[in-house]
Amino acid sequence: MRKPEVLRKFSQRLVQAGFAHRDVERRVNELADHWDDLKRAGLAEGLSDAEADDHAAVRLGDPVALAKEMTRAARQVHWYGRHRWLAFCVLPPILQLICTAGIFGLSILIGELLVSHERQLAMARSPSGPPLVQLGMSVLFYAAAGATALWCCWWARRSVAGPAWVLAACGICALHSYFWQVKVIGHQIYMGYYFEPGNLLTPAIPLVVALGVWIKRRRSEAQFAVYNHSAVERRHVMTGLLFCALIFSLTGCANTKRKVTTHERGWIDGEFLTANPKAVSAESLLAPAMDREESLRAPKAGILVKHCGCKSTVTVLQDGDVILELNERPMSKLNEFSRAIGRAKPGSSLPAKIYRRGDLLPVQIPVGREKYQREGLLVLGLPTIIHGWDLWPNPGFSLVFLGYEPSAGTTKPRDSDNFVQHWAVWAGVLEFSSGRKILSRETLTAHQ
Amino acid sequence: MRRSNPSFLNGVPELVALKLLSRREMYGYEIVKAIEAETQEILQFGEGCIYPYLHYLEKTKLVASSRKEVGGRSRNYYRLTERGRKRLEELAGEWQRVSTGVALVLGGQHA
Repeated sequence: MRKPEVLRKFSQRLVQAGFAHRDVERRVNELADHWDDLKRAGLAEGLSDAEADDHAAVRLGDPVALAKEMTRAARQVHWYGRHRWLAFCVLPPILQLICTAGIFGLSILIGELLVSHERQLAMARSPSGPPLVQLGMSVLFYAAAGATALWCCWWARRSVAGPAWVLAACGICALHSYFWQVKVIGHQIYMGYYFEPGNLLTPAIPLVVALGVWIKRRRSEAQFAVYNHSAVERRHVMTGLLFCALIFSLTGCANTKRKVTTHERGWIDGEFLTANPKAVSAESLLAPAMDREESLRAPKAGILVKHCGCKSTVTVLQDGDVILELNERPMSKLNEFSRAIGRAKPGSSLPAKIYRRGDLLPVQIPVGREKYQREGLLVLGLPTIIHGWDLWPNPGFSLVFLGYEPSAGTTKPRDSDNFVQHWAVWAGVLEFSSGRKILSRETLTAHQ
Repeated sequence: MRRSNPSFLNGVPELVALKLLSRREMYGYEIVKAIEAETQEILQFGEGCIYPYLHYLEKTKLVASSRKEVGGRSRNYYRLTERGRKRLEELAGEWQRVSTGVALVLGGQHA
């Protein structure tokens, strides 16, 4: 066997194993030097040129076995080379969680340091707040998915783990990203595992990273004259395409098989609170326009209108009003109020009795329409033993990581909300919950 | 009590390479020739096999390498690091212990 053939076989095996271009070059140069020394020694012993080549080939050993031994030795150096199943199959999802937590924590820290208290309050009240948070969280997840995939590629490169393990890690990252999501529910941020067929962008990122690494590798190897890599690269590209096809066919199946049933119910725009019973009764008793008999009959609690929503509601209700009766039933709890509105026919109006600056007024509250889907969730996370971080000192806002803090029942979600939870049960780290995913909300003119 | 039960020959190539490099810096071919010469050709192997060991030792920072041009030829020279020196002492002590034990068994002595 001649020197070029030996070196070609040797370098080909090293590249296939996943050695970096410069490492292959160095090893090939060392072996070439050794070959030259052996040949020189053979020629000095009186061998012919061909015999000296044979002598060198025998003394050096089989190039394929040598490349295999070099790969094995390189993998022994790092723990992620020795335990590749753990490093490239088990750890990527965990790394993704760690990356998310790291970026998340950093963003919270920056927000706390840079955004003033007044600005935080203004942001909390602004209707554009939640979509901005949603966008920020999406970017955070894309970054975490990409960072994890790159991290695994770096490990694979350092430990000469080979392209198969890079593929495995990127594929697992992609699958994990497909289910691991963030949801902004009102002013709450919720991370967990969901089944959302439309979530295509995040899983695509690890696949793009894998393809990017291949392209980079292909370019750098093209400069390496000793080895013709075309066969290996074709195999890698085919495997990558198969992975992409698998992910997107799974997504496609999920999209076609899912039946979506929409429902509608009554809805009222605005933000409401359970009024303080003591405050209401005290004010009612002092009301100048209310006669003694009526004030004694007045209920001791109601629903406080914290913020009126659209124009049709504003014409009837004002900020600070207290709804005492709705549809001839006294209102004392927010749940009762929500149920009464929900049961009403969209487009109708409900008779109500409100308390406004000492006066008891009869009004007709217009009922809007809310379209929704019923949604059940299975979420892996941690039960909220402690309260979430209240970044913005607003009672309706709470930032919870790896968990969900149900609404304390004091607020009715505003129209930026897209999910209303009915119930949730924790079993260890699993949460089962049910609720409504809000599709649209609209105000309607009441039919008198 | 030892938890692991390493093979007797584990670490032998490492020990030999470290010992030779403790004297002076060498390149791959030189190390192979030195092993053959010093063991009177008792230890013989495919000469390429020395490189995986050298690269492993380099990655674990027991030896360091540098490219040097000597006699018109550019080669990778390996030298022992301080960490490698400590490792050599450990391996030499371990080898002495094992070889004494094996010699006792082969000599037929009983405890």
